[in-house]
Amino acid sequence: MKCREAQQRLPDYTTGNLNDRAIEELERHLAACAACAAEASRLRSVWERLAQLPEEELSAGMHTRFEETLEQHEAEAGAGTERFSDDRMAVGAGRTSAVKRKRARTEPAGWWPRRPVMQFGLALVILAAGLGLGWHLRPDPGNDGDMGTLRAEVQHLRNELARERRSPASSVDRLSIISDIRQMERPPAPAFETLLRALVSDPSVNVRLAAVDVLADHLDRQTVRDGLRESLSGQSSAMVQIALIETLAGLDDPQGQRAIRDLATDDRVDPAVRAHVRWRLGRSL
Amino acid sequence: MDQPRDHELMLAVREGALPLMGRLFERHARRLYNFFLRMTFDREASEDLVQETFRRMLEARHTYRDDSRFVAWMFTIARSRHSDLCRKRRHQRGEVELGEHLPDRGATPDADFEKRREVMFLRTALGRLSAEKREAILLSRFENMKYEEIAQIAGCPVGTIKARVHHALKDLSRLFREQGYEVS
Repeated sequence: MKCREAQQRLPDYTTGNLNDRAIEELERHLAACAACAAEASRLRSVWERLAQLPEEELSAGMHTRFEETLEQHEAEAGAGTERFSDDRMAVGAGRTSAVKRKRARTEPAGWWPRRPVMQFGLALVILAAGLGLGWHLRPDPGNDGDMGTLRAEVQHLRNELARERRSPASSVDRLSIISDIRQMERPPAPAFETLLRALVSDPSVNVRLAAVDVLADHLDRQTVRDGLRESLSGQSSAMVQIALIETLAGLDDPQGQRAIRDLATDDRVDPAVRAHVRWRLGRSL
Repeated sequence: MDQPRDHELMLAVREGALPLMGRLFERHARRLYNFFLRMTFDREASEDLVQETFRRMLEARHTYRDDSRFVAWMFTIARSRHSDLCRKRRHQRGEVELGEHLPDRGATPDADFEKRREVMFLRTALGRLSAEKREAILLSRFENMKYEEIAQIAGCPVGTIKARVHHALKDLSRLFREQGYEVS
């Protein structure tokens, strides 16, 4: 080995980035070359001296400050604040009860029954009550205008009931639908429509995030890429926006990249999202 | 029972077990603080940066992948927080300034004067490196990271990191000699 090559390898040798064979070759050279050995010694001294820099402890308030941040996030996420004395239990609980926590966050309103049969029964009761009231308040036969209005209202109620039966009340059911789509090897086009609709309008952040996850596996479809990009600016949740940014950032898609860049200068966008965009831009999208 | 690894804890946080981020804070906040302190020489800014980094990890938890390595992910976020601070300071002051010289905590007049002088000198020497070189040498020296990992965190080629570390070592060696420290 010549001195020039040895000198080039010395920093790697000092920092522990040489493989065994290269170390052996270099050390053979150092044993025979005083100049390179002296340089190796100088670099080693610098390296070891750096260890003199003291490690400082965190100030007393740091943990408290972080606890407050954590509580804020838990409140926003609606996450359970279960604490475990054993982290292993907590990790396991986190894995297995993630669905349970999501379910707890997304229970329907207390008065609305969970079972579809009960939902249907309650809806029939409401319909019957409405019809009965309407019959009781029926106008003169000659007054067709009011009857026409009532008919329209009954029809509207029937339509609402039909929609309720088609659209599950709880987000767990909606997540279950998304999970079913995920399992499909080749989801049909309506499945993507469902996912994109969920991404845009589902009230649950978890459902929207799940939709992003599944859609991210199908970025070869133009409709998926377009849908993800178009939903970006209208999202109310910072988490969903960040998930979308991460999904779109990896694409070779100028429109997607422009949509991401636009977020950085939009004052309506959550500061955390804007900061994330700037970080992403720093990594050259 | 073995304690869960950082990766497992972070996966659980990703799935909704937010309190476990507190465990990760206990494990890593101090090392992050010292990284920032050696980058900025500013205690208050370093504390803020630690908080910011953990806050961002919570917000971006859904970006943590099954094949992520927790420490690399954490330092990637930490690095971007530091970059944002530098940009903000540059914007506010027109140039990047390091914090004022750190007074020694708990130092007494009887403390080892030579030792304190050397620490002061080390800080000054590190401060004279560019931020990129300083970051590379700190991650290599204090986090025991290989070039490949530092490159992943910094988002640049391995060769770039290698060059930064090489130059940082050579620059420090020269600065030591200029200041009259014999390095042998």
